[in-house]
Amino acid sequence: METFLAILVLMTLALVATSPRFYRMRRIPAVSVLMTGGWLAIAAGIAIGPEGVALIPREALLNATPLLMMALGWIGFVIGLQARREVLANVIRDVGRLVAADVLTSLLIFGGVSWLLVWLWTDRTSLAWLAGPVGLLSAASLGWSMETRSLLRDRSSRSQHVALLLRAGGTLVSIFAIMWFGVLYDLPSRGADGALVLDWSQSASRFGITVVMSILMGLLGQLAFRHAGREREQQLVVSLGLVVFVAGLATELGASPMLASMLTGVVIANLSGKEFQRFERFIIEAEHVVAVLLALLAGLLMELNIGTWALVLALALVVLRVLAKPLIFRIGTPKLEEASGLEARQLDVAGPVRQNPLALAFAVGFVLAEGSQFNRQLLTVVIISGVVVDFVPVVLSLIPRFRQLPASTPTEEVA
Amino acid sequence: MKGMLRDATVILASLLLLAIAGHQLTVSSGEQAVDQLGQAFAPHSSGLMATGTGFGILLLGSWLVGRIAAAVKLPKITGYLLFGIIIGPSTAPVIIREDQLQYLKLVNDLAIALIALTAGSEIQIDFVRKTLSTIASVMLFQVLGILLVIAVAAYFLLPFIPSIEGLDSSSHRFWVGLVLATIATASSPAVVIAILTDLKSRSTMAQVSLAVTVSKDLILVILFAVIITLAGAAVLSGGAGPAAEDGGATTELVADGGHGDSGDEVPDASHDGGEHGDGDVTMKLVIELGGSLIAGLIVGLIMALYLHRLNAHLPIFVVFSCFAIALICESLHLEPLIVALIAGMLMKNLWRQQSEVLFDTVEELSLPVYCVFFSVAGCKADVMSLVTLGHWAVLLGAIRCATIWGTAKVGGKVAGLDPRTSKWLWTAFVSQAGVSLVLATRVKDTFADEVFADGIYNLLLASIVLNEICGPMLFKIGLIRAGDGEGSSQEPPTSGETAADGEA
Repeated sequence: METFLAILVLMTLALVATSPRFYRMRRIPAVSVLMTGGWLAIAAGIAIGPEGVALIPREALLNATPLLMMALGWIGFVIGLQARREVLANVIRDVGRLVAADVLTSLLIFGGVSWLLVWLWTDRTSLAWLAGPVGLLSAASLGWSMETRSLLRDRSSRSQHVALLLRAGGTLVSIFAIMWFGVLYDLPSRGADGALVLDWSQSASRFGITVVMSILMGLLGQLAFRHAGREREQQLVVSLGLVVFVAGLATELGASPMLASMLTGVVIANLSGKEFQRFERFIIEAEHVVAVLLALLAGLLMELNIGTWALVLALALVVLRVLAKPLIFRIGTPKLEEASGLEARQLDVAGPVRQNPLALAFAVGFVLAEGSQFNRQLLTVVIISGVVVDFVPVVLSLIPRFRQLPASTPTEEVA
Repeated sequence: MKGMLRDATVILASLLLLAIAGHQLTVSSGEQAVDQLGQAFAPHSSGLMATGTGFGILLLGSWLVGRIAAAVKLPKITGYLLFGIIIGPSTAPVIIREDQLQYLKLVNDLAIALIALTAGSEIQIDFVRKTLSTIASVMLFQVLGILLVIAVAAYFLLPFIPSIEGLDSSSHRFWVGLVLATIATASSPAVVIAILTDLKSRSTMAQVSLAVTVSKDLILVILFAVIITLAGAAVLSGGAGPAAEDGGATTELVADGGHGDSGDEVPDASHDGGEHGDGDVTMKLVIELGGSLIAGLIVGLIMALYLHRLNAHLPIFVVFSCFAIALICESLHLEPLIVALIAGMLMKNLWRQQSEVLFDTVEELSLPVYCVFFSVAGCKADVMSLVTLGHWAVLLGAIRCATIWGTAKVGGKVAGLDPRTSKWLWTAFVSQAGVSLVLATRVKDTFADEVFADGIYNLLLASIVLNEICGPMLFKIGLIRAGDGEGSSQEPPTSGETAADGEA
């Protein structure tokens, strides 16, 4: 009976999601926020997962861990591909200060608060127990959403410039976020009794092997891409194979698959020719697949029954983001002229506040690596803080000082 | 070619070395662990965590070996299969272990649905209507011919095979021979589709091969269920085999025993070993096949509706649809092969123009799917059985090939196929892969308490490995000899066309 119910739910979801009426609903700002942030997919994940109609049991998901890690590896790989030398040289000149301000301040503020609250929540004081959760929450706090289309209400050159800063800065910060998360993820190991311990030499060797292996795979990948030629399906096999292998090996070693794949992506991006750049456009299409998959997965894996401390932690992160991120953005962009219009002001505030989508990837990766209840609660914390801050632009639009023109829809923009 | 070989060797060697090093350095996971809140949980097994690495090696390695195979004029899938056999658990257990294969089920389910969607899109209703008599004739001659010849051959040969003991009774020999013959009728639709895609072939031979292989697969589902039930009842003392003792009253269609690898699904009829009547089995099969048919129609309609209304993000849509098919089939015990096949057929034949873009997307995704699918099939091949029983497998394989050749020729002639197609059509039916492996496992399970079970199983495995390696090569040669090249497309013959017309 449950199966039939689940199928009914799925079919209803599919039919609703494919109806033109539903597509038109994106004109409503709140619905647009839900759809752009992947929150509807998360809700669908909850509905069909163990917390809902249980169409997909949690064990089945955890058994698919290596394949799901591949999705995380793919994200790391795509981000690594952005780190092309010539692009980085240009971007760093313009947004270097913003990136530095965000990385340093966020790690200090969010890292500190997370450390304190996780300590109070778990009653654990040693670095071995706190490194993982604090690494996750602080990495999740870095950067912001790179999607700026829904915030661009006017076409002024200033708004376009801010949007560009947000996108370029966000991408660059994401690279740091993956590295930071990768390092802290790598730090603790499981002892023979199942407890977390700090073994610096083991962590260092694991990290070193992961880095060397990723770079080597990048070099081999470049060789393989040369043989793949210009055919898209051949390039797809090579990319998939590289990502799966690197992410798989990193997972097996207990290192971060995102970091490993990102490093491979960096090497390939800086060694490959124009054929590969054409292929990049094709693989970016897969971003949708991975994003929806990740959001669904987050919904399936999250723990709805969270305690008071987890809720306090989520709300603290929300408050910190709302207060600190616009300030960091201002500090990081001192030469940016004062906003003249309300729309531009909203972009300055709401843009940096929204959570980096990578946060979801970090949290899902954390649960996939170890499906403990605590990790699932941390995933819920990240999801809650992400949902709430995503509504900041909507809330701002209700405040007279920030009220602006109706949001443009993707359809209108295309037109 | 030289440069490619050198590069491929460098890449493959590095991959394998890295994988071995990775396995050695794997973080050990204990049986229990505690989280930050002090709650115990079970960490993942090392086999599970190593699956990603294995999957990556299969993908990259089979792709490279497939390219080398193509460079020496062999079918690419022979390369994929060979790579799987070389690094599989029976040959090199340090790279891919037995326990890792089960975790690749998800990829396999996706592959089955994708391959079946492609197969469905290749079957044109007009063509099937026009050539129904041809398809029926070739299929019937072949199924009956193989059943008869292999059953008789096995009846007389089995007592001479040293590793097969306990088949002294003629009744036992008859039933076991019949079971072997049933498995011999199986061929692999996945191999046929992969070769046709590789050669971009749309000729008469291509379409007849595909239609016959798929139809044969459907017939086999019923045939095997009936024969294994009867054989189980006749051979097992008391009529109840070990499989029946678990109270297994299911005839659920199993996806390669959970590790499907050829897009071919078979009924787990051995679980009924003598406990249930034929009527029960047949009724359940009818319900499951009927259910698959209806589910396929519904899935096809939903997919067509999506294409009609949105037609966006097609790669996502294809991947999700295939997973949905796999999930639904697992929940309702339906056959993903039939569901996806019907969905593909429906879309291609009713909404040809709208669905074109969808099938282009499916084709773009097909290469990685084939690489993993066939290399996993290769991994499952037991090389040791080939070493010990190779000569017997060659003998049985030769008899099977000769029978397939003869029956396909007669069937083609009776149906009025042109002589060239008739001459080479048999090459399409030699390949065996997933379905046969599953059937072999079912046979072993059914007769698990009998002394001959292991011997028969090993003989089956050896034959399958042989057919798995030779089949794709033969089919490629057959297609080329029948006048089929890259992108060749011939008009299908009408039912009234004669051999002479074909020649003309």
